[in-house]
Amino acid sequence: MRELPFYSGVTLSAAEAPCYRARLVKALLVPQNRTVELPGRRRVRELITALKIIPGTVMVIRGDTLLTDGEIVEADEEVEVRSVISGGAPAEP
Amino acid sequence: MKCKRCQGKAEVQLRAHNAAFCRACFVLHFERQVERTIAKHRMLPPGGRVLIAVSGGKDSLALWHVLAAQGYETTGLHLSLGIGDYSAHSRAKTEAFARSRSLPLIVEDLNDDDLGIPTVAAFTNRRPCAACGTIKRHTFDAAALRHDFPVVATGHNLDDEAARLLGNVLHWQREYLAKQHPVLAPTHPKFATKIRPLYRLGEFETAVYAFFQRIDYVVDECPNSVGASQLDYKAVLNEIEERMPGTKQTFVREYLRVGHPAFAVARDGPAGECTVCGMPSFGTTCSYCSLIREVRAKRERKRAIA
Repeated sequence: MRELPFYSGVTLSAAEAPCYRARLVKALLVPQNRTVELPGRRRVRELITALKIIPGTVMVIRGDTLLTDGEIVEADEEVEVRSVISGGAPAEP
Repeated sequence: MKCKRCQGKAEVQLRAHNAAFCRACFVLHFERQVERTIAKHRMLPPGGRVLIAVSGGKDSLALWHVLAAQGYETTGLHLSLGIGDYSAHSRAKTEAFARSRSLPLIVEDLNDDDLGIPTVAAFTNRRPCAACGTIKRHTFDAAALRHDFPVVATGHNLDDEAARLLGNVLHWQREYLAKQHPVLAPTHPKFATKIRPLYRLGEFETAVYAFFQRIDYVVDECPNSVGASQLDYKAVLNEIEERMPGTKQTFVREYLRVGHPAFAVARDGPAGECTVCGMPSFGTTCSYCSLIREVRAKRERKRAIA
């Protein structure tokens, strides 16, 4: 089985690409408590953009560590994307 | 990406400062910013007594953490607003924070008098945020007077200040612009000085500081704040900040330097005192007591009809 090539924001259904099985980055959005899955490894900034979030309004957390914009989140990894905006919940991406 | 200070691996990037920091250097950066702000505006004397309004969110808990660490004599004041699970959760986080650091905490619960925000808003047809503001202001002032605190600190950050400034400028609210300053000297002997030591730090920075210091804060937001205009102002400012890093900082800093002196003369304090609670008031009854009287009168009327 081949890995889905890295194209930011590109998703292929099983019917469209039966020979590929997408390896997904899982982003847990907080405080919405919703998980969004995106295909392929990608940089933090690309992840945030794909989630339609303005950079600087969230912290991206992997385990006990904060990630800067240029760091790569590998496929199959799970990160927390935590809003820093107080005074109300952010709009749903 | 490398830390600007120690050249180690950076964990946080601040585009407004064109800098990145490792964990230890960021904490130092944050604490120095607070220290400099307090010194610049002479907010507190070394080791001074201060009452900190604590909601349980990242900003107020980060503020309490840093002021206690810098040797100020801090006491927290938490006002439980009676907004269901959100208030219960906020109170629990605040109490746990105080307990874990052996810091004194005063808790006032609006539910004790059956005056929770949803009740007050429903009986008076006011927006919950408007009722909440009136009640908070009165509670903080009254608590500072009762417990003899000369200064009340709040956790307003740069984003709060920039959003508030944008709202005030868009509507040319002269009276509000006069009050928009990180230090508000008392306009009546019964009032305390109000300070905002985090006003130069963005909410990304306060969130990162809370995360690095392992502060367990309330991540959920008040359910009543959905649709609040301040969030729209923040969204607009964040879009601009993304294209032009440092804009929020310049907006607030230059307002304080250039704009505020022009509006400061418009600021007036209350001349009298409320005949009900004795706190300073522009009329015979302060806005808090008027609100509470209205709730009680309408509740009695409802009971009589029932």
